[in-house]
Amino acid sequence: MGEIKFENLRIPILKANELIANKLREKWDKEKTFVMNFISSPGAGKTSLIEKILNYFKEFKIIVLVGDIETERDAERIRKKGFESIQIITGGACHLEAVMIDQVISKLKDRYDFIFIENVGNLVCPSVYNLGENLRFTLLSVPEGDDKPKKYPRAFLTSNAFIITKIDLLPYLPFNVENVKKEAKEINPSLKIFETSALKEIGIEEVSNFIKEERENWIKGI
Amino acid sequence: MHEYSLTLNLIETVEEERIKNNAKKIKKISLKIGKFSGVETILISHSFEILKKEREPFKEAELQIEFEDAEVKCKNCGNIFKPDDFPFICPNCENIYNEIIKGFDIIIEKIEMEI
Repeated sequence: MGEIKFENLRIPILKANELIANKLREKWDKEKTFVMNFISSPGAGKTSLIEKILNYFKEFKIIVLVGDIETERDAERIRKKGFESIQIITGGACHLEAVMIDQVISKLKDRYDFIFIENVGNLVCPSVYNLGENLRFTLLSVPEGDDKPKKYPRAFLTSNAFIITKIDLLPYLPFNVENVKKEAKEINPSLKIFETSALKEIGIEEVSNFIKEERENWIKGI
Repeated sequence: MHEYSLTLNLIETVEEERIKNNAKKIKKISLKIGKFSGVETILISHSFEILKKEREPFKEAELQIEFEDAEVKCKNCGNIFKPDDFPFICPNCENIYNEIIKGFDIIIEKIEMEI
């Protein structure tokens, strides 16, 4: 019986998640599948935004993966629009991990142009887990308040784009768009910012164009 | 609360190292928790105490946690600095586009095992 000590290891505890995320990334690079991860609190409007964005993606082969603690509700909403959708019921977990995506992806037979991943409604935990995505979006709705970026910096820090949702409610609520944009940019200066309303169809085309442009640039670079 | 999930991830990662080294038991794990990791240290310790009981090689394991300052490298002048808060502006050249080096993750620094 003896002892061994390993020092200066510097192994991230999320190493296992990273390995699976990298494996997914390799598969998607090979298949030219563009993947997005949508993060927000519950009720910020992820499903409503995705529903509207999908109107601009009718010519593409798409699947929407939706994470929730319980129920098939969100996936049903997407299917009603005529798109494929799979509900990932986490059974209590407050975020999606790469292994959950891998389990679903490994069962799919088709190749997709785009995969939309709607994470579990939570502004904290999902930001820690890389799912191998190309683009990460953080959404914040007007009713949630404009003080959120610095309270939940990691979501903003790790995202490519920040989408303010429900801007049709601006006349009724104290929400300073310029302040929230400034605060988000202080955390992540490279954030692309959009102002949207799914209900009034504002800003949806801009987000859709951004996704398509990002995919074009990515394909050129592979 | 993702500390429980993170602790499970920690145990899985350490378990992999144990198997790789043919060790019997884990004696001690030293973690470094970054200033901006967004993690509650006490919840990690608490989750570890519960989870270690479920796995034989971890039953006697001690978890030591240290705090780690953030380190950021300026993409313009290469200066490395320790920010206290956002925005991470380089104190040398005031550049705002910077690369995060340390202090955003939870890192396993040391593992002691019994073979």
